[in-house]
Amino acid sequence: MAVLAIVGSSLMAGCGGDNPTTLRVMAASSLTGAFAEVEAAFELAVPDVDVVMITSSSSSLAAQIVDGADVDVFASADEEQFERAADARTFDPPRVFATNSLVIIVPPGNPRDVRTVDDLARDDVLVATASEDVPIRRYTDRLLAMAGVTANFVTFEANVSGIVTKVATGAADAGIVYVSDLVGADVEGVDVPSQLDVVARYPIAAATNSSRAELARRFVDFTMSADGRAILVANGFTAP
Amino acid sequence: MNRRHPDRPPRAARWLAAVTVVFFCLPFVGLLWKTPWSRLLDVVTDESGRRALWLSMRTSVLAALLSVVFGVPLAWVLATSRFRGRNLIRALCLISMVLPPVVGGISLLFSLGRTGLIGRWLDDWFGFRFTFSSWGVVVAQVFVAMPFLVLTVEGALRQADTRLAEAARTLGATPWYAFRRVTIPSISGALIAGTVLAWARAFGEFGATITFAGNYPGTTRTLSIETYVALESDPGRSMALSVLMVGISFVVLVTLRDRWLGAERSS
Amino acid sequence: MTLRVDALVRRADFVLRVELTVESGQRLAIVGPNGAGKTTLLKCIAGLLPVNEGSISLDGGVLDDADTDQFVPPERRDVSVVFQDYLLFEHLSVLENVAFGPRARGARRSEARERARELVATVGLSDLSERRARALSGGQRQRVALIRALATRPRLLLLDEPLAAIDSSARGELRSTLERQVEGFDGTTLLVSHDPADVEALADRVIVLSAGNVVWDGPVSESGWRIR
Repeated sequence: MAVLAIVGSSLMAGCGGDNPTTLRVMAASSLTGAFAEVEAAFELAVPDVDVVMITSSSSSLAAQIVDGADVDVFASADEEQFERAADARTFDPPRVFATNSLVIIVPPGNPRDVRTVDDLARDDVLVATASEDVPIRRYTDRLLAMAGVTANFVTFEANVSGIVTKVATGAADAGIVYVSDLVGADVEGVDVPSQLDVVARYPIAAATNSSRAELARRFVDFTMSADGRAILVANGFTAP
Repeated sequence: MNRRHPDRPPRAARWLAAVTVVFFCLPFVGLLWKTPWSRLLDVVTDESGRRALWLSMRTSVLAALLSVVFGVPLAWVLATSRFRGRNLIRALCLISMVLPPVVGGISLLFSLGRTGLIGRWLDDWFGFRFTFSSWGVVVAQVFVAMPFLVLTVEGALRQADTRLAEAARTLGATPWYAFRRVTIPSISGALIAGTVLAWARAFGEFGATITFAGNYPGTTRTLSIETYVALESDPGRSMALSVLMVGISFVVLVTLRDRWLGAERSS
Repeated sequence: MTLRVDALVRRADFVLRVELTVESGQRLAIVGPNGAGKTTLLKCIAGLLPVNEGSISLDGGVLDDADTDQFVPPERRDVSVVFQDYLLFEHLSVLENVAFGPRARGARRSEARERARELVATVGLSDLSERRARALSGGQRQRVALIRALATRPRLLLLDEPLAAIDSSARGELRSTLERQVEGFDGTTLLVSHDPADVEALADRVIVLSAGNVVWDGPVSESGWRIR
């Protein structure tokens, strides 16, 4: 029994260090790549801080915050999910730190020759999208409404990476995701005409009543600094 | 030792067992405590819930049956043959038990998906797709569930008395007839347990299904996917669906308990 | 139903070497110490074990021939076995156990059950026809095992220590039943037993096996001390 207890606690203890402050950042999954770099840069610039990055669909993160999850910074892929979180927890006024455009993705080689938004309505084109509360779905619906197109949806994935997987493996013939998702994915992009461009706005804010609020605000400021913006742009976002 | 119950396990074991039971019961107690009971009726009567329930039931039962049809011969071969590479083959057949289900789903996409190894041939020649179809759901479930049946049945076959099959052979039974009429009945307890286990795994399956078959109401949105999706937008609904799933599994496991315990007692 | 064995079988502890002819209708007893190869010999004749060299034939038809690589599987040999542990099918009734052989060989259910009923009556178990085999006593099981083996009308009947598991007090009566059935059986019988009383009652010829070889062969009347 004693042996079990010792082994168990040492496995859970993790590495020591000088007791750095843990900063819990929740970020939309489309920010995964970009924020990994932001995390690294921030930890380099600010001593004694350990950023814990939690990425998931913004709707999932908002649900967790509503449920009482401990968070210091929330970066959402749309303002709606941010407001949902802000209803449950006090945040500083949010600031839009990045915007993202939408793009149609197709499998390598574009097997169904998808060139315009209208092609998404074809019977022979299987379109993947996300389920209702995921921000990308809202943006997609808005775009399709503007174009007057009813897309041939065959699946409602739980998050953006689900859409990318279905298209990259050729199971689906097309999908609509953020421009930033093109980076490193095994898919081809088909541009959306500028008059139909729906801009995704990403708000970020620090949680107000946290013991780490100061540090959280520094993180938010860092994201909006020149260094932060450079990282975002390199990852496919537009930083206003 | 206790005078009245000399067979009882020692007190320390009973205490550990009690702690373990609490560990398993706690999540259900928590679930039942927080579930808004009024929603329970909603989820079984609204269209989305009913479609998901019907889909889950028919796919998991079919998956369990397919697991028996294909899994029992496999278990027979693994238990009785002694060819080179048998251990490797067995490991390959059982590996999906250990893999994260999403990995299983992705592997299925690459093999049976539209552009996969076999999938592209199916699509080109027959216009048939597993992805985004209920058959895809069944395939994903069979992939994760069958190993449980194979493991259970193989174990039982190894322990079964082979002399009974020999006796049947001397009476004129072909190996297959002996297997069907003598060996299988002798392991009926394990066979039933394995089938129920496979069904339960198939019923609860999520990761491989959503990755391989997708998520479309009525065709591929199973009850587990429905529950997950509801979690983000409507937690109350999600809880009610969870209670439904727990309830169904509980009923199946409890009603089948006597059959499989009963069969064991007599063998 | 002449059985001809001229074979060599390699086992873990010994090598069985037997050259034997058993004429139609004869009743042969095989005796010898444990580990001498008696059960191995029965298994080879039943088709549960192939020979390594030589051959076994019944009525001129090859059952097993190592040189020409012919092997007739047990289900196609007309050889029935009464096993030492009976090996009844526990989940089946007495009637179903006895009908198993004929059914396996393709008989219709009603025919098989009819035949089974006749046989069950000859050993006085008609009242227990529908009882599950797992609920029978030792003596009852022995009788069922015997008639199950006879149900297929085999040309050769092998009895492996048929009364070994029976209480000595019950043995006498069961031996008489066995004797009666074997008398009524028109094929050839091979019996393995440690019990001289069994040999006396059920055989007319004895061979003694020791360490894989036949060391004595003669009529029961002359066997005397050798079988003890």
